[in-house]
Amino acid sequence: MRYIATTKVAGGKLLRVKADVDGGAVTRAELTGDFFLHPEDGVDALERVLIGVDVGAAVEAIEERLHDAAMRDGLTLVGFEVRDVAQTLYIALHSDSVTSS
Amino acid sequence: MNTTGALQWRVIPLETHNAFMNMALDEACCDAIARGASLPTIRFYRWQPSAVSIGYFQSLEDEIAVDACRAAGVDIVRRRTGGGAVYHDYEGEITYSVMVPERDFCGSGGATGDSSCGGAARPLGITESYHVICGWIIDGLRTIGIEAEFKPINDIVVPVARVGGAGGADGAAMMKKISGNAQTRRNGVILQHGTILYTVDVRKMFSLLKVGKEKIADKLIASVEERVTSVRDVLRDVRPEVTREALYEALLGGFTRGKSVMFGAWSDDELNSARRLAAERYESEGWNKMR
Repeated sequence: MRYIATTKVAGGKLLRVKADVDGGAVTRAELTGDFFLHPEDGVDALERVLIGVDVGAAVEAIEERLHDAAMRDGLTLVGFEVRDVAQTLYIALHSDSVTSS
Repeated sequence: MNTTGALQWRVIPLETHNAFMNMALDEACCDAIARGASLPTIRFYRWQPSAVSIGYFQSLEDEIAVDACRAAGVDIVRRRTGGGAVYHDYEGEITYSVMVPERDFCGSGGATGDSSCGGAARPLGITESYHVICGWIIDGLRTIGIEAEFKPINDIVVPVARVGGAGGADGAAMMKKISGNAQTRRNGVILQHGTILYTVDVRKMFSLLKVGKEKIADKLIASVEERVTSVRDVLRDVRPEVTREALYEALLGGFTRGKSVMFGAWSDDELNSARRLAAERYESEGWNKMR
């Protein structure tokens, strides 16, 4: 099942999270939007660390995974924060699934 | 850097290439700067055919009306920089790139023309460097009579007076965007590029871009078209004679004031490298449809 949510971060940047879920956990996640991230390939680390997130996970738990990955890889987020990603994924997992096309 | 410490810049004067070559030249130039083969470089360019570029993290399908672009003969390219989707109209805008080693791009607080290191000046961080480079654009626009402001993170806006309208009773000015900018730092080299709108066909722009309702969700305005302006729009009633060439000269002045510059050309290595990068990366579906 695929879940998508989009949020507009304070300051104007748009953040979209697409999550594939199987067996009650995230199997794949994609972050898209008009934000900035340095280094850019750090987005792969943020997406990877969302794999395994339980559909019932609390926002704080999701945020902690992302925060740890950002710290470990020395990522600089510009225009958004890990909390925004966590909240957007949370919203996605609590919304209706979308049909993948 | 020369012995007096002032940073020596190369300026590549206004030229026109297609979308793929424009992005490839940025990358080839950054590579040359990283290995010390080229000076820090400022370039100005136009896009022919007109093109849309999307930020590194954007989903192409989510952002671009692909069929509309194909029908209009508009190219599509993914940038190495983050940020949003931009329509580069051949007639309507001038794009710049600034490419400089991180360790050489300094400031001592406040946006000044002198970006050389030493003394109290230290390498600028990401948000500071946006401010400094956008300051060059603002300086240039001022010389043609436009008072623009830097809006963090990466926009330049112009106050435009509201004319009546519901909710506009206080007469407050609306800030409209005239320039968008994006930066990446790779291999110790800063690349910041951005566009300055000379004239804009808003309907055409938004026919090529998919603008989601989320982008305007918290605004009390009906139309996204109202948030963008251009040099021609701002000066319509006061200086309608300002040409695109005049805008270019003004930007050239704003970017080079206070700097040690030499007007130069691409090296053969940079051109050959750019042609290869255009073909292998920027024209490829694998790159452009990466997300």
